[in-house]
Amino acid sequence: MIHLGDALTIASTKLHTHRVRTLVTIIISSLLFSALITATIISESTTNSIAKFNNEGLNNRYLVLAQSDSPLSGGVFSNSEVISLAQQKEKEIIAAKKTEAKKLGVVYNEASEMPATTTQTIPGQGDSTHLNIRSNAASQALLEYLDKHPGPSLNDLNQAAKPYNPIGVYSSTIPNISGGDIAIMQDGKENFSPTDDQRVSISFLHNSSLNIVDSELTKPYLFNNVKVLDGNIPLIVSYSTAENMLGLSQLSSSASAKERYDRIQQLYRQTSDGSLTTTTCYRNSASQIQIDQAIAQAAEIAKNISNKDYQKPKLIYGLPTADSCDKANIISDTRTDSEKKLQIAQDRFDSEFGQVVVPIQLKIVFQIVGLSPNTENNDNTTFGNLLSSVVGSSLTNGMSVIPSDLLNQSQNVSIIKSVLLPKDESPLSVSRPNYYVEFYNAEDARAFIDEKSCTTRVDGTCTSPGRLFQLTASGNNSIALQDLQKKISSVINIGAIAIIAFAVLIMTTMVGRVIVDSRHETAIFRALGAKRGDIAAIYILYTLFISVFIAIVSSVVGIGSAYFINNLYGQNLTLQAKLLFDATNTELIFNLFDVNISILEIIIVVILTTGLLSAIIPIFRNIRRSPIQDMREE
Amino acid sequence: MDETIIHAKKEYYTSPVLRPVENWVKSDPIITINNITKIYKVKKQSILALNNLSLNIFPGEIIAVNGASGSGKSTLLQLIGGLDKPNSGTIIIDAVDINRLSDRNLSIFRGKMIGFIFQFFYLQPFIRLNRNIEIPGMFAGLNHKSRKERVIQLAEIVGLSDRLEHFPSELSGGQIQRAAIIRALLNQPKILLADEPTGNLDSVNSKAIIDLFEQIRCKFGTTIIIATHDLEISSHADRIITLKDGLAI
Repeated sequence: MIHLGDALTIASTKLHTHRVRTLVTIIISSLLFSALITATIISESTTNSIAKFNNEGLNNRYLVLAQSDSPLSGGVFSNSEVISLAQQKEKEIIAAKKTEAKKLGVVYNEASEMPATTTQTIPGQGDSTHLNIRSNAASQALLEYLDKHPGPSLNDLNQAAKPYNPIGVYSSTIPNISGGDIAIMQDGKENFSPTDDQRVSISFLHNSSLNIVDSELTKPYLFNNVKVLDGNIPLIVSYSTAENMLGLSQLSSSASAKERYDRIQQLYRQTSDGSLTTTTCYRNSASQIQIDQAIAQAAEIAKNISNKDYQKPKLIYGLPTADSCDKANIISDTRTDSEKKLQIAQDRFDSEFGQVVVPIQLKIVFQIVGLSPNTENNDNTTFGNLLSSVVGSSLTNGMSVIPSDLLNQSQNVSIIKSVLLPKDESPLSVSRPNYYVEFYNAEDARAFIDEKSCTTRVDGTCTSPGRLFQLTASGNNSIALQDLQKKISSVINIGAIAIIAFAVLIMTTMVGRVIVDSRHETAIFRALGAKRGDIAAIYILYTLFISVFIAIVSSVVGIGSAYFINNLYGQNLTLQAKLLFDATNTELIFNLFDVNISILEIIIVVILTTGLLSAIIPIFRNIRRSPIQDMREE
Repeated sequence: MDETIIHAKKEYYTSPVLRPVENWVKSDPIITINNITKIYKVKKQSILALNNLSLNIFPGEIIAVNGASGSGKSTLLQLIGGLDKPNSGTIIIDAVDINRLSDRNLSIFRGKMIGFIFQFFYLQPFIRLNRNIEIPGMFAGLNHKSRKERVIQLAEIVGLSDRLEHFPSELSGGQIQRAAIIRALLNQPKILLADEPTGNLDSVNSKAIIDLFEQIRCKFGTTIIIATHDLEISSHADRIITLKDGLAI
């Protein structure tokens, strides 16, 4: 058998002999494999970068939102049991009110009582009776009914999720402030404008509503080391809310990625020390009525200032100082003792039958402790917005969020809780918290949704019995993103296979031609004593030479291209990724040039193997030929 | 053995190292060809290259195989060299029936026993002369040192010592053919098969090659079979075998 060094010597001559063909083979195959290397480096780097960016916000978490049907759904308003109870309550309340009115000496007119039910005549269907929810009797009946039918509990959810190994179950509660309102104190002052629309509502602050959310979900959005000052309510707001609070004008929809990212950076610079606060004033309905009365009385008095026949009200309220969030004060009270007694009796009567008569007001300072991305403006009409909706994460859709643990650390938590989380007093304000179940991976989350989610029918029942919650992937699109990554990965794999197949074809053709062209030479070698194995060794080494060249050129070109692409697009991609993934970490870089040596080694092995595979058939054919036939054909 | 096909030229055998020609017929032939027939098929047409040819060739002989183009000269050399197999008949070389050897053993046998010289030399253009000459030794598995020693020794004989580091393109036609001859001799074969060895050379170089064959025969006792249509070359052979339509005439 020919020695390796000698075979190398002879094989190397083929590189010179078939220079053009060898060069063409090396160039084409190198371009193919360099494309593969570049694609692999970029794909791998992109995956790594996405993984890094995925750690921002809620991106890397597999959350499922679990919602149960509203307690008021499913035909409860026409439920015969509730209607019957309401009608009974109505009678009881009327009877009780009559008795109490007589006892307290107040006037009570049964006709003023809101009926507990209403009846509609629907053509062709007859009469239909419904609860009149504005009626006190109907409210009480409904509350009793809901108390007996509490709906799915947290325990039910834990049981349902248990087979899927959840990491945890978190809750998100919408504070119930229906008994009053919270208004912004612009520059620390209440706006006592006569018309409501000129008053700054809390909705200015949070665009939709407040949420109290478990800290496990709010952590990614909190500023580092921020300390909530005594008495303040911690609040995470969306970028756009923070812009409003800072008096910054909204960027136009055509703003560049850099402008948008710079704005976010600016927001963090100006808020991340926890110094941004907004003062609000909470008033319950009784307090608000007195303020409204004071405003209306002042306007009426001013209007009739020159009217000699005008008689001022006996009880006149005055507005508190604008920065106090105090109750309306009494400016003058000329009521007689009997009138005062009658008012006290009326208040007692009203209070006994559920009406709020004691004014409660409270100054609440919200301290911004974190920022969350906007979601309200993502209309998905542009590719960027669409992509952002796929890869980005949001915290309860950009609402303003109070982290529950920071709320509990607050000094005046009991007062705040009494304002934000009062006992359900009206069935309309009865809400069930949203639950978030977190899983270790997308598969468990997807299985949980597929196997346990309730799809409701028109009548409010589930299509599959025993399914108590409507389940949807939430917080981010990790599950969809993972599917997308798998698809991209399979596309790259198919591409890699296609490239390898094409390279094998080219190399087989080229090496085959070289071998065919060398048949006469092979015959000479056979005449000089070469065995078939010697010939095979020479051509295998020749192919190996080509493969090594291809591996070197491919590596250099492939790595160089990835480096070039990274230099060209890396910076802009970093910017885009920070926006898309709602990243807050300024140090993060979207790197397209993250060379994985192991994968590069695998590709080099693939190139060498491809070369050898491509040579097998031509070599096999060549060495089986009769040397004399080739000599004669010459 | 058919004595009629031997045309000995006794006057050439003057070298003291050679056995008298009379002794050859008494010694065992190194090559015994018995009734070989070779038919080629070209596009469904059968061409009779050799027709029931028998021949004995003795050690140290220089044989010229003459004949027109297509007379079977090259075919005879290729069959003797084991590059091809006859349709019938046997070829015994050094007591070995080469048609019975496996491809691998035939290659080994060929490498050790036979040296080939071609009309077009077939040197590797991109390696130096010394490495070119070493090629048969590479296939025979000779170590580099042995090969190098033999190359130096042989190059000295043919006057190419100062050309060993040159590439073939830097040599004349005569020098290239001499290099091709010593390449064929590298494995010290007993038989040298030369197919039109001077076909590409001028008369001066042709004469030099013939002289070199004589020298090789004298020095190594090599049996040399030359396929040629050059009568001048043939006139220097011990015997001339003329082929016509596959038959020796």
